[in-house]
Amino acid sequence: MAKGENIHRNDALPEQQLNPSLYQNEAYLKEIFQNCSDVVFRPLHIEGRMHVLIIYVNGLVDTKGLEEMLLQPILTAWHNPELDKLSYFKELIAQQALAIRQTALVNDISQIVKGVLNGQIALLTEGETEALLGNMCEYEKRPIGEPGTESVVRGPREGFTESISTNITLIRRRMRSSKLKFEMTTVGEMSQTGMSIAYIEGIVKPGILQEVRKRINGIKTDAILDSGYIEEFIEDTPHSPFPLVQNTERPDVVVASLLEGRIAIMVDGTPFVLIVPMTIWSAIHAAEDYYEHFIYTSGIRLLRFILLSVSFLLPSLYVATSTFHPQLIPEALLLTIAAARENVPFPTVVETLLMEVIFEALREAGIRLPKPVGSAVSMVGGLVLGESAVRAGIVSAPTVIVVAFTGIASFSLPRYNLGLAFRLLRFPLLLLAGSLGIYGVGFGVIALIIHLVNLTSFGVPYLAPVAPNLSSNMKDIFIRMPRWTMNKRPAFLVDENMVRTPAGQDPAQNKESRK
Amino acid sequence: MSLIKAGMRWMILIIVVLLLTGCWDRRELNNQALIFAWGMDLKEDGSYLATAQFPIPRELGDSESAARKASFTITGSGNSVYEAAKDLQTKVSRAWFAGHRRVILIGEKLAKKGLSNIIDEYSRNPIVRLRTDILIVKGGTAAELLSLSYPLEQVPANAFFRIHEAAGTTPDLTLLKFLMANASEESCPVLPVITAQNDSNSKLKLWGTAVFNKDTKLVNYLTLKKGMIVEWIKGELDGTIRTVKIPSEEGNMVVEINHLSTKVKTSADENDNIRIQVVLGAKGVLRENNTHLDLFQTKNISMVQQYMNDQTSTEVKRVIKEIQARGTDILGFGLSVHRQHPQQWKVLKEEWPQHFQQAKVEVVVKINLEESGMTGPSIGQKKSEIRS
Amino acid sequence: MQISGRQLFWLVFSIEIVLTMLYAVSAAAIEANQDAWISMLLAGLMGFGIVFLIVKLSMRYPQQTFVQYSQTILGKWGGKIVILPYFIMWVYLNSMALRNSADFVYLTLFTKTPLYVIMVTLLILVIYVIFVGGLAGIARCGELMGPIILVVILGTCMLSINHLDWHHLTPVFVDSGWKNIMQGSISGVAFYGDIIMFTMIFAFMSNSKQALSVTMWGMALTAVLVVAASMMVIMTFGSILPTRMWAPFFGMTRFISVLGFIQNVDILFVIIWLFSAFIKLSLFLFITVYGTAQWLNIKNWRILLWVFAPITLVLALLPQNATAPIKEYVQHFWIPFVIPVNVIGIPLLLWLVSVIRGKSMQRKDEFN
Repeated sequence: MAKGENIHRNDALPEQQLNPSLYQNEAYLKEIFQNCSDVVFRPLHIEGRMHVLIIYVNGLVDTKGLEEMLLQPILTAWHNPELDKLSYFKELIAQQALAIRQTALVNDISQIVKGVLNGQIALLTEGETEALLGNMCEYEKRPIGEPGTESVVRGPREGFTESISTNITLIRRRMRSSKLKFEMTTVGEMSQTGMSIAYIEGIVKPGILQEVRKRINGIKTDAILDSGYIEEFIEDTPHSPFPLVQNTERPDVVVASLLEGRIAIMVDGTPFVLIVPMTIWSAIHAAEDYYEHFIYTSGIRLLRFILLSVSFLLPSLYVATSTFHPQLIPEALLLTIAAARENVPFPTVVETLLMEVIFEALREAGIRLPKPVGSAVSMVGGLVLGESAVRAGIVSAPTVIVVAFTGIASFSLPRYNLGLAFRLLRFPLLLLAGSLGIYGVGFGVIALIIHLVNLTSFGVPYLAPVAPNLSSNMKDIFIRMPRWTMNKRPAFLVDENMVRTPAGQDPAQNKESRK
Repeated sequence: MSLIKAGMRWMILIIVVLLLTGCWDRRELNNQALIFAWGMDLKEDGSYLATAQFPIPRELGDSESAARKASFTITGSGNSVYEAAKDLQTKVSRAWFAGHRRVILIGEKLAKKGLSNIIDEYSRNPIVRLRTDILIVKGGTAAELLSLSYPLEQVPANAFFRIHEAAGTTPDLTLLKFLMANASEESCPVLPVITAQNDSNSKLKLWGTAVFNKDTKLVNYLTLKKGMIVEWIKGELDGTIRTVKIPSEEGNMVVEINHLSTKVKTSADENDNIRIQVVLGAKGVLRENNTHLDLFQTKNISMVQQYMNDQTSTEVKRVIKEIQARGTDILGFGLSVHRQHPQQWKVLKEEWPQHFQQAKVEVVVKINLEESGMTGPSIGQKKSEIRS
Repeated sequence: MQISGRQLFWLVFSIEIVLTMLYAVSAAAIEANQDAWISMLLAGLMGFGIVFLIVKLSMRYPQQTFVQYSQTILGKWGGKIVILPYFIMWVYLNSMALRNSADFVYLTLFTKTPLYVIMVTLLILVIYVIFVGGLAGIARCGELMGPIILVVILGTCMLSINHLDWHHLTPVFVDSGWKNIMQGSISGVAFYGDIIMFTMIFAFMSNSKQALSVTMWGMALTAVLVVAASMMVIMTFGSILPTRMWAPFFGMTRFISVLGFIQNVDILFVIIWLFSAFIKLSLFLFITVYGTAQWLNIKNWRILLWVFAPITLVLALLPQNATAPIKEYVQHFWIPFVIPVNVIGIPLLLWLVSVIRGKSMQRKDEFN
C-alpha cells in the first residue's frame, strides 16, 4: 500500500465541539446517524423543553438497566433544578446506577459517536458543552460451550465464545495473577474491533512482545471479522503453507501457552484466539496430551508422528514403489497389487491423483453441507464411488485402500491447519513420485525440510527445539515426560523465570522416604 | 533480493518442466512381466537356453480361477545370459522385470560345462537381488522343471525356494556362499541339487549337494545325508537325525541331534604334511526306540551313545574320504589351515588341492545323549522282552 | 549466520560417514584383505591428526575464516596466492561430489532417467538452501538429517548381525602386513581429507571453544562406525568379494531380511545417501561461494552462486563413466595432490608461520 493512501472510514469525523444548544447537537448527531435505525435518540422533555438527550445503540446496551437505573431516577427528580447539570447525573450514576461501569466526560462529537457505536450511552444536556458517556454495554452472547474443533475425552470442556470480555474472563479464572496482562487495542478502521494482547509479565521475552505490538499496530484495514485476518497480517513468511500462528478455542491451551512464554492475541467477535510464536510441535500436540497419563500420551504421540508421515508420504511412496521400484515390495504383496491393477486403464499416478481428488471433494462436501445431507454424501462417496469403481475396474482396490488410509491419517492431527498444509503438499509430492520415483519423494522431503528449518514464527525457529537442537527441551516433543521431570520452561521462548516445577518431586522417591 | 526471486522462479520453472517431461523410468505393473524363477540350460550347439517363469496376475487375483494355471514359462536362447534374456523378451508381450527373481535353476549339462560365464550377470545388475537361491537340476534341464505345475504354491517358483528352506538352510544365501567360496583361494563351492520325480503330487525333490571345482565345473553329487555331514563339518548345520544300530539288538534307535558344534584343528609339519582333526559335538534327544533296551538305565544310554558316536564317526570319515578323493575342498579345511597357520599357508596355497587330497584326517564325534524322551523302555514291547 | 557446536558435530558426521562407509572399504580391502578394518582404524587416527592440525590452526584466529587468516598470516598477497590450490579443490570437489551422488542414485534406482536430471534437481535443492538459509539453514538441515543417518546406519548394522561370521576376519595381520595396511588406509584418509573444508566453517561458531572437541567427536563417531562397517562387510562377504564390489556396505544392506517381510531396506540407505549428499554438496558449495567472495572481496556472496552452480554442473557432467569420479579422482588427483598439499602441507606451513610470528609479536610486545 502506498503511503498516504487513506482508507475510507465513516467515523473519521472532523473534531467538532459540542454546542451549548441541545437542539443543534441533536440535529448534528441525527445527521451523522442518518438511516441508522438501530441508534436510539431518547430526549427527555420537561415542561415542553428538552433538557436531556440520551443516545445509544439498540441491542448493544442493557436497555432494562437503563430504564431502571437512569431513566426512572431522572423522571422522579424532574423538578430538581440541577437537572441541567451533568455533574448531577454523574453523581446519580455513581450512587444508584451500578450497572453503568465507567463514565467519562467528553466534549467532542466524534468521540460521542465512537462511544455510542462501542455500546456506550451518551447523555447530553442543555446548555453544557460536555457530554457524559457511560458504559452499559451488553448484548446477546452465545453461551460458553464445548469447543467444536478441539474436543477432548478428558480435560476442561469450556471453549471461547465470540465475546472478548467473556474470553478474558475465562483466561483470568485460570490465572489469578497480577502478572497476567491484557493489553487492549482496536484494529480495523471501520469495524473498530476490540483486541487484546495477553501475556505473562516476567516470563514473556520483551523482544517478542514488542514485535507483536509492532506488527499489530501496523495493521491497516477496514474491518477484522475473525482472528484469521490478523494472522495473515502478522505471519513471518506469508507464502508458506504451514501455519505460523497457532489458533485455539480452548482457554486451557491459551493459559498453558502463556506459561511457556507465548503471547495470546484475542479478537472480539471470534472464539479463535491466536497464539504466537508457534512451533510445528504445538500443532502435533493436543491439549489432552497434558491431562492423560504420560506413558499413554507418549504412545499416542509416536502414533501421531507415524500417521503424520503416512498422511504426507503414503500415496507418493505407493506410486513410487509400484511404478518405479517394484523390487522393494515383497513378492506376495506385489502379486496382490499386480492382480488388482491388471485391468485398470490409468497409470498409477493418475489413478491415485484421481482418488485423492475424489476423496478431498467428499471431505469438502461433507463439511459444507447441512448435516443430514452430509451423511448422504459420504454414503454415495464411500459406498457407491469406492465400491463400484473398484468393481468396475476403473480404480484398483490397493489405491483405494492407500487413499483411504491417508485420509484417516490426516484426520489424526490435532490441529486442523497443519493437516491442511500436509494435505496440500501431498499433491506436488505425488507428482514428484510419479516422475522420479523414490528419488522424487526424497527430493520433496528434503525440499520440505529446507523450508521448515528456515521458517520462523516471530523470530523463533519453527522446528525449535529439534533444529536448532536444545536437548534439554526434548522432554515434550516426540514423547511427553512426566510432569515432575519437566522442570523448566522452553529455553527458546523464555530467558528468565525458567523454573516451572522444582526438581525432586519424583513420587517414587517420596514413597521411598516414607518407608 | 530481486535476483534471488528471479532465480527462485527459474528453479520452480525447471522443476515443473522436469516433472512434465519426466517419467523416464516409470513402468506400470500391468505392463510388466515379473520373473519369479529363472532357468539356464546348455543347448546342443553350445549356446544358452534361458527359461523364465512368470506369474499371471489375472489368474492370481480371482479366487474362482484358482484351479487354473497361474504361471507360464518362456524360453530364449543366446550366447550369453543377457543375450538369451533379450531373445526371451521378443516372445513376451510385456517388459520382463527380474527384481523379484528368487530362484535360479541350472541344468546339469551347463553345470558340468562350468558356471563362471553365467554367474557374473547375477551380481552385476543392481536391480537383481544377490539374495537368490540357485539350484542344480540333476538329470534334467531347468526348462523342464520350471514348466511343472505345483498346486500348493500360488506361483510354482516359490516351491523350489520353500522346499530348500524347509530342509533347514537359508536359501537366500546360496548364491552368496557360492560366490564367496568361488572367489576364495581355499575352498570349492557347492550348490543344492533338485530333481524331478514322478511318484507323487509333488514333482520335485531336494536331492542333495552338487560339488564344484575351482573352475566352477560340476564334479559330483553328494546325497542329502552326505551333504548334511559336509554342512556339519563346516558348522552350518542346525540339526539333523541319526539312526543308531545296536548290534546286540534287532532294531535301531533314532536320535535327533541339535546344538551342533565343530572344531577343526590343523597342523602342518615342515614337509607340508597336513594333519586335520575334526571334532564334532552335539546334543541328542532320543526320538524312537525299536529295541528292547530300557533307557531308564544309565549304562544303556551310555551304550547307545557309544554306538552312535562310533557309527557317526565312521560315516563322517567315509564322506571326507570321498570328497578328498576328488580334491575339491568343500569342507573348509583350507580355510582352517589358512587361519591357524597363516605363514605356512602362503606356501601351501599354491598346491592346496594336492595337499588336501593327502591330508590325514582324524574324526572325533562327541554326541551327548541328554534326553531319552517321556518313556524309558519302549511302550510297544512286552515286559518280558525288556532288558535292562 | 552462526552455528552451534552440536550442529557442527552433525555436519562433520553426516558429511564424512556415508561416502567413506560405502567406498573406502572396498579400496582398503584391495590392499589389506581381511585387515581392511585395521586400515580404516589407522585412517581414522590420521583423520584425528588432520582435525587436530586444522582446528588448532583455525583456533589461532577464531573469528576468521581460512581465506581471512591466511592473509593475516602471510600478508595480503601471500594469503591470496595460497588460496589458489584450495579454490581448485573446492570447484573440483563440488563437481565430484555432485557426480558421485548422482551416480549412486542412478545406479541404484534408475536405468533410463538421464543423469543430468538427478544433478539438476540436487543442485536446485542446494541452491534453495543456500539462498534461503545460508550456513545456518544447512546446519539445521544437518541437525535434522544427521540423527536419521545415524539411526539408519545403526539399524542396518543391527539387522545384518545374523549374517556375520567373525572367522572371516582371521588371520589378522599376517596376510597383509604393515605396508599393505598402510596402503589401504590411504584411501580412507583421502575420504577423511574432506574435513579440510571445515577451516572455512569454524569462524561461524557461536562458541569457538567447542570447535576441537566437537569436530573430534564427529570424527570419532564416523571412524568408529566406518571401522565397524568394514568389519561387518568382511564378516559378511569375506575378504575377496568386497574388492570386487562397487559399494560393499550397500550390498550388505541388500541382504537384510527380517521375518521375510522387511526386505530391501537398501532403499533407506539410498535416502540417507541423498541426505548426506545434499548436506555435503550444500556445505561445500556454500564454502566455495563464500570463500571465493572473501577471496575476491565481493560483498554479495550469494551472487556467485549463479556462477558456481552451473560450473559445478558442467564439470560433473564431464567424466565419461561412473568409475572415473570415484576411483581415478581419488587416485590421480586427491591422493597425490590434495592430501599432501592442501590438507597437510599448507595448513602446516601456515601454522608454523603463525606460531613463529606469534612468538616474535609477543617478543615485540615484551620489548614495548
